[in-house]
Amino acid sequence: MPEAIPQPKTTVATAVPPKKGPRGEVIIYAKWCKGCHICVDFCPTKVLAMDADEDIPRIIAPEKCTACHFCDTHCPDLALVVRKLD
Amino acid sequence: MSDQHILDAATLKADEAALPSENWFERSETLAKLRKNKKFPTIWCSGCGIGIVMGALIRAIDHLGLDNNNVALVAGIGCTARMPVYMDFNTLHTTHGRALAFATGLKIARPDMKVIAIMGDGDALAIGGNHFIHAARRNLGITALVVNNSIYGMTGGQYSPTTPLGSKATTAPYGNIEPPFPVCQLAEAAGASYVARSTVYHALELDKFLTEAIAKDGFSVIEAVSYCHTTFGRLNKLGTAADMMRTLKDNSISQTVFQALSPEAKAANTKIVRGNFVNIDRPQYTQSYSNLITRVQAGMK
Amino acid sequence: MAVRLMQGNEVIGLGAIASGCRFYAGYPITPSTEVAEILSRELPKVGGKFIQMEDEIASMAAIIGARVGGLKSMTATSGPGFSLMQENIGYAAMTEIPCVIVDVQRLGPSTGQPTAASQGDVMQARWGTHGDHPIIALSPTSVRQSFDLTIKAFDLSEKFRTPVILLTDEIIGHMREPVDLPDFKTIHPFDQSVIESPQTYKAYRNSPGDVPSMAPFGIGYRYHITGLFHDEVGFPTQRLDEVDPWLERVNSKLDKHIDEITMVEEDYEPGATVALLSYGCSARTARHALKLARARGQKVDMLTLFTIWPFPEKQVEALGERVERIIVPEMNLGQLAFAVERMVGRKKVRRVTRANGEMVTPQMVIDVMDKAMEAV
Repeated sequence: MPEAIPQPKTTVATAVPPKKGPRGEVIIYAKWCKGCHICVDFCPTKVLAMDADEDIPRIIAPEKCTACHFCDTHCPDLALVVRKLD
Repeated sequence: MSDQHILDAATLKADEAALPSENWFERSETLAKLRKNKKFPTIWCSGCGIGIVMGALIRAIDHLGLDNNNVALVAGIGCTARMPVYMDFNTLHTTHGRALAFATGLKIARPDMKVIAIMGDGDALAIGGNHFIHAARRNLGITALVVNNSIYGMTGGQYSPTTPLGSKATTAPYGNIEPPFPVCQLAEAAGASYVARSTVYHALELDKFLTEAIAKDGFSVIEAVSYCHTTFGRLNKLGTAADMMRTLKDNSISQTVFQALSPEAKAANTKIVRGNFVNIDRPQYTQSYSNLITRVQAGMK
Repeated sequence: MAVRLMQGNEVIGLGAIASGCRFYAGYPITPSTEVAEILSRELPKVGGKFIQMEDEIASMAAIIGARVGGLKSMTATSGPGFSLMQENIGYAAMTEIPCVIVDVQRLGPSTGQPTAASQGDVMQARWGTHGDHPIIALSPTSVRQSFDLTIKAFDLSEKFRTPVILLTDEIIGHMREPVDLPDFKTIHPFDQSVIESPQTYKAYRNSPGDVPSMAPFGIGYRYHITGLFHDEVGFPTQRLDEVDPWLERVNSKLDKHIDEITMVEEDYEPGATVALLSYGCSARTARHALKLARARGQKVDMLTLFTIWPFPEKQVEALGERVERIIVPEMNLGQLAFAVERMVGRKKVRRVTRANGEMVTPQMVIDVMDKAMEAV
């Protein structure tokens, strides 16, 4: 009988947790926006930033939206709606 | 409406797909209660807290599942009083300070309707002060929503009965020498059966209090503390709307926190105290009058 | 109903009930208080609502609010309270909300003499509130007429969507006369109705017709009412193409139906060269002077106005063509005479005025009449 061939050590890879995607989706109605930038200033995860040229917010990090609803409940013009994603 | 104006979730990238076009009013329950035939955006300045209160009001009405036909909004005069026209309810825009008096007649004629009076601090407490205390005394089933930005905004920034001592205003160029009203204590002393205060920073708390206030069968007062960055803010160098919003956040404490302070700290407190201060049950005026009618008509037999 | 001795103010209250009024808000003020007292007693009996508000401003606001809620409504006051109500009377005129305001005139200005009569609010009734607006004001000359004109006031206010002032006075308000009031079941008040659906309804439609129908709140028509200038759906506007049509319609809606609104009594004699023209309590003085004059064989015409505003221009102008002199007795310093002079010329008018709380006497009228007859 041949000598036992040393088997290479195998490591069982643990399951990689799925990447946390956006929990919400922001929709902006630019026609009603007056550029007060409350949404930009108070978004806890900095999803929004003011556009360089126009006085409206732009979504710069959509994946960071946690659907906290701060922006759409604090927009004085109801120019933002946050939709919860499944 | 052109769907050019609806920006989707990945706006800057040219290869992203646009959202399917949809009428903006259908995007949320809140937007669905706006008047579709009214011109938007609203007349208020960029960043004004009044629009935030309007959102909270609609959400509260929505939470309660009220029928639009059964809701009446009665307003006085001022920036705050411009709120009702935007909403799809029965809306009555009256004379300065008299919203509660008009609302009294309407509520007595239609006790089954939800009647909400929408007033600024000057409208409710200066020219309207008398009607405020009597409506509270009678405990009419009306919700008094007082948006307090401590100034007469519409007319350009004159001081009001809630302007802080020492603040500048166009008619107080050397600083206001009149102490302000304690709005919630005034409401409580006059007989209101529900009194609460929050700020436009704490919009969701405002939703909650408004929901309770509107549901209450009695005179309920909500003091919604806001800011006018255009007049008061500019005259007192308080920054932008966002700055004044941040100040509301930093400068307010909950009632629970306040109650936990030592007596000395309480006396020295200058922060806005948010909370529900009164929630009692008292006979509501229209019910009392209905009982009177029953009594009178029974006596006639 | 049986003949009963009744008071002017009392029957105004009953007239309101007969008209379908089911809401009263008011503030006590001499000499109008009896109207409030009787309605506080009678309204609950018919399921109506009474409230004593904190002041007259609130009273006027409350009656408008109640009408918006669907109840015909009324308030009653006197001079000082009438002054307080002016802003909201203007609101009712601007928003075209029907309501009745009873002004039991007393001697002014200011506190004046609370228990003395006058007719000093004639001009205030027309122009007390700021801005150009139409108004209806009616003056009774007897207790029975106080009842009839109250019903008429409600009907006109509903029909023309306007505040109507029942311009009575302390004499007519406090006097007692035997009256035989009709059974209320025989009275058929005018009621507003809406035929449009909520989808097509326009609260301030400028055509067809001069008066849009009024939908109360809370029955399915959700619209905006404001004291600002507004478009046909009630939204605030400053556009000339929306403001001008409103101005045109509202400021001519009464004139276009003047014959329905004007109530006068012409007691004319062929050959008369002198006429008496009066209203309210002073008409009783004038009637007595007329009786005395005719008993002496003098030919005298008499025109009694029950509608004060809009001013009966046609009838007064026609009278001016018939006679050489028109004598106007009134308990003020010539407020109605001013309107008469405008129609027929100052030279033709002789004022008989008294503003000290005492009635103009028949003798005062006779003296002026005799002098006038000598001149013509």
